[in-house]
Amino acid sequence: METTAIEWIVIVLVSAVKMGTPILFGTLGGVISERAGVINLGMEGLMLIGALTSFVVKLYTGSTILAVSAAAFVAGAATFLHALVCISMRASQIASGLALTMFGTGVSGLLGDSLTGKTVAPLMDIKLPILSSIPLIGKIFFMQDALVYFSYISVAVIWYLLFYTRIGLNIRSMGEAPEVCDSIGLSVMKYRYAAVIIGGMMVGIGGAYFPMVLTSFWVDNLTAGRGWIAVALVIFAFWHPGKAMFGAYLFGAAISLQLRLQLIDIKISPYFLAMFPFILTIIALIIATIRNNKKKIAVMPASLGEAFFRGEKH
Amino acid sequence: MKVFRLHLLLIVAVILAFTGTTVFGKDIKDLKAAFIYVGPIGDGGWTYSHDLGRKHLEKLGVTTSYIESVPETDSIRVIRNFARQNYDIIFTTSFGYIDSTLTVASEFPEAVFMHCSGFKTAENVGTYFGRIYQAKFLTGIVAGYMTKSNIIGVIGSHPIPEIIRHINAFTLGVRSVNPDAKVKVIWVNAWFDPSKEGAAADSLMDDGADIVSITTDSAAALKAAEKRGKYAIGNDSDMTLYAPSAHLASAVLNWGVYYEYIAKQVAAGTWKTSKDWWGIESGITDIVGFGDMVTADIREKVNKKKEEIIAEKYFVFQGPFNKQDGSPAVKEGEKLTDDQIWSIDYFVEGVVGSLPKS
Amino acid sequence: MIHIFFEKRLYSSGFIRIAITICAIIFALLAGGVFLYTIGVNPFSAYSNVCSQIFTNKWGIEDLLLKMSPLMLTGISVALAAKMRLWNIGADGQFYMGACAATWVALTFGGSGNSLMLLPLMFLAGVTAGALWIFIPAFFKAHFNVNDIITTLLMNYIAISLVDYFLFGSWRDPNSLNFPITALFPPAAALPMIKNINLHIGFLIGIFIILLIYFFLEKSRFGIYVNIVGNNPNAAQYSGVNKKRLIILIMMISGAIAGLAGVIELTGVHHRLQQNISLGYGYTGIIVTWLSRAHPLGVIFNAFFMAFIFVGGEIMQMSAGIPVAMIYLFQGIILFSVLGSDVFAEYKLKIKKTA
Repeated sequence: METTAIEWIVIVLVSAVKMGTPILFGTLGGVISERAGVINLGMEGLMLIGALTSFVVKLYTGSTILAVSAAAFVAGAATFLHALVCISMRASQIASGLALTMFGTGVSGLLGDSLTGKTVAPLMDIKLPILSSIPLIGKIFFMQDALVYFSYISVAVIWYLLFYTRIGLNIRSMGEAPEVCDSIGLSVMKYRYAAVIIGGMMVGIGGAYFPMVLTSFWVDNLTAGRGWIAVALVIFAFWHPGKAMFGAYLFGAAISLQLRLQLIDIKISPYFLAMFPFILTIIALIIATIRNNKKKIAVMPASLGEAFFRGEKH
Repeated sequence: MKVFRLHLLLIVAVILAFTGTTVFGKDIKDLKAAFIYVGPIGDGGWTYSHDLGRKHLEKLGVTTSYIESVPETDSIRVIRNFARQNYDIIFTTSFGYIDSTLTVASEFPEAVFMHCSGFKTAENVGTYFGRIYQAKFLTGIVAGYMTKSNIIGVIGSHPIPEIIRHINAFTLGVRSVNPDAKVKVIWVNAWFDPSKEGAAADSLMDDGADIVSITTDSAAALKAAEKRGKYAIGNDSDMTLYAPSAHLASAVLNWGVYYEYIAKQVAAGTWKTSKDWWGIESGITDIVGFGDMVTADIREKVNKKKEEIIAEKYFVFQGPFNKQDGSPAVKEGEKLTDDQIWSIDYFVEGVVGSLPKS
Repeated sequence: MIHIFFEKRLYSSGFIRIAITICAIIFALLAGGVFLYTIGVNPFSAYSNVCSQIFTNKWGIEDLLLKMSPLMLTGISVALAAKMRLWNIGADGQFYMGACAATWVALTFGGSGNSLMLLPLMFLAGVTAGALWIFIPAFFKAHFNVNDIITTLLMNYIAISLVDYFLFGSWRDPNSLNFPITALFPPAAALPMIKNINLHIGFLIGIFIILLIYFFLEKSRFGIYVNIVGNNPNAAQYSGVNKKRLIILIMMISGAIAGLAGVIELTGVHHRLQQNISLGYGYTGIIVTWLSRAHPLGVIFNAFFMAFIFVGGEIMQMSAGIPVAMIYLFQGIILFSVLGSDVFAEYKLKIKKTA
């Protein structure tokens, strides 16, 4: 069975999209949260919570829509803890995020204990009419499953919301200058809570992608560190949903290539392939920061990581 | 390497039956056994299979305790803590515990330490493993009969001798009934990463494989095969439930029989250090869970081969067979020794895939 | 409508802080107790069992101090940077690189004659590697204000892949069936033990480094600069401090300490390089720093506290058969509770009714 080079690349990219989608949801969640000034290092824990919730709901109801909604809801509820501790109670966002990862790993491991050997039906791919007949692009992007399509919509909606609406401007301002927002009468608390929890819900959906599409079952620690990759990709994406998409697929391609290069006997160390995206991110961040320093525009949310309390100077 | 065979087992069992365990030492119910696991019990594979063994001991009345998800780098404290609490036997169930087990054992000469999949022993440290490669060979026979494309995929975790041995045994099984078939190997370069294992299965099937076999723990590859209407073979525990329509068979480990044997030895005071490598005749490993698509004819042929292995008329690594590059590995009428099987670092002919240079 | 808000306390004493932390721990123990009760474990006997096993025999304490040793060093590493309002999220990566460089020394020179020099060389290599691993983030932070949280975090991922590359490549021990572990180091590469206790001297090194940093920050002229820059970045330029150089220097010291933690763990406990040589010690160091408000002496106490949570969790697993997931859950709850409580040390909760 001979495949041409182009066919081979298409196959790699199809699987890059699949492997990249859970990371994309996670990264989008991180983008929303961090745009409002709150870092979430708890993504790995949230993904596990989302994955387990969706699996259990699908197992008992058979409905993917219910399963994914439940994953979003429960992950959002868990993120509330993070929001409470680091927005209201002013604790370190970084320490609180680490606590959230421990909590999520623990709670999912404990409650998922009895599910060994159970499976759900995987989500099947749907060919989109017209779009799927575009050469190359059609096969890569438009012969995927419903959750992948949902991720496209999410990227578009979040992009639009963040950059073309009043609400988006307000959210971004929370991450840049919360004092100013407060002085013009916007509630920093409300916006930050909303952004962090919605972000957490997206991460939960990313977790749901594992049992819904990639594995069809639950095991302890199912996400195997993808949440941490999403944490890094938020930066890679420069807090932008469009670039998040590119980053997530790049990472998906790195996984896919690690596997498929072995079959055509091209030897690249998998460990270098694994570290490549991170080296690229650091270089990109440095270049962008230097360039933007000259133009005097911020490359990242200026108040990222800082708690805000009314009437206090930092 | 000293190996216990069935008859030896029987003799021991008979002696025990006549003398009664309480005459020599304590009753098995007075024993305390500890287990140290490298992964969570919920991994559905390696640790799960050991925990089934622990539960078997519990049923016999042995007091057991365990700690799961103990990283190799933290194992010395955990093993020591069990030893301090006067556990009679401590089972350390990952290769990476090798030196921490020996270190703690030297500090606590009274306790018995059993290290799984290792090779270093001491006066109070024994090692043990099951010859699951025999079951792998038998699953290879099933795959050899069932493949239509003559391409069979195998997913490997990391290229260590244990995994290489299993891939070789599987390939020898395939080629013993279907010399034209090829076995393609993909390394996921991770100990545990279910979604990546699923993607690896997809890569293999894209490359023409119609059967996927795994050396990893999760059933992700089986689900991927089921989704495409292809076949798959499970590892460590019976994976039928995960993908009933794709599951040809699983090569499994039943630690319970071995743990019971060791517990009785320790209770009777007759335990001596050894390197135990039990085979399919003891029941520690087996091929189970044949799918409906595996015809009675094939099952019969597999069972016949199993009987030959038990009767020591057939050895998995018996000559003649070649290395991957076609150079002879073992000549007609010869076979690999246990030490050679244990530390095998090359692929046999029929495997397509590469090993890192060492 | 009811408004709930925080009002800053006029003064916040150490006493209030300690009292509140204790309340938070009690709250967490109660919350965790509810979870224990639901899985059929009596929380009171589980807790008393943990305390009796740790504090009534020599072993429990030894275990605790052993686990505490790396946490003190990663904690002080992160805390030193935090004094300058710098974030070293990369202590884990520096830990790995410290261990990695020391391993290179041991594998290269371990076989040759001069065994007296081996251990010092390993320490030198590890400390240097830790400092160098943070150099890129430090340099670009100082000169171009490239975000340090992010660059140091990303360096962790690279460090772990790099260690994997060596472990699965040329460093594999042929005598260990090509398993990804290096050969055992010669005895000359082992850290000496403290007399009569089963504990390596890394523990004492940790205490010493923390005291050193404490006096450096409190008593030296240099430490005063650090405090000036940390408290008010803008004031620095009037005091004649070269802020850029100070940032690079402090971050590299921070990296060096994390690298030192790696060497100590390697030479004191493992005597060979393997995967997971850091069990998230760099990240736990961040928690230690936050809980101690970057105060060096607080680092000792909180490293002890974190070690207690880990060791206590193990004892619960061992004696009551509680699954490891329960332990993670427990640790998460305790952390949330202690982190959340901190606010009450500086603020009062006020409830007001408004029309």
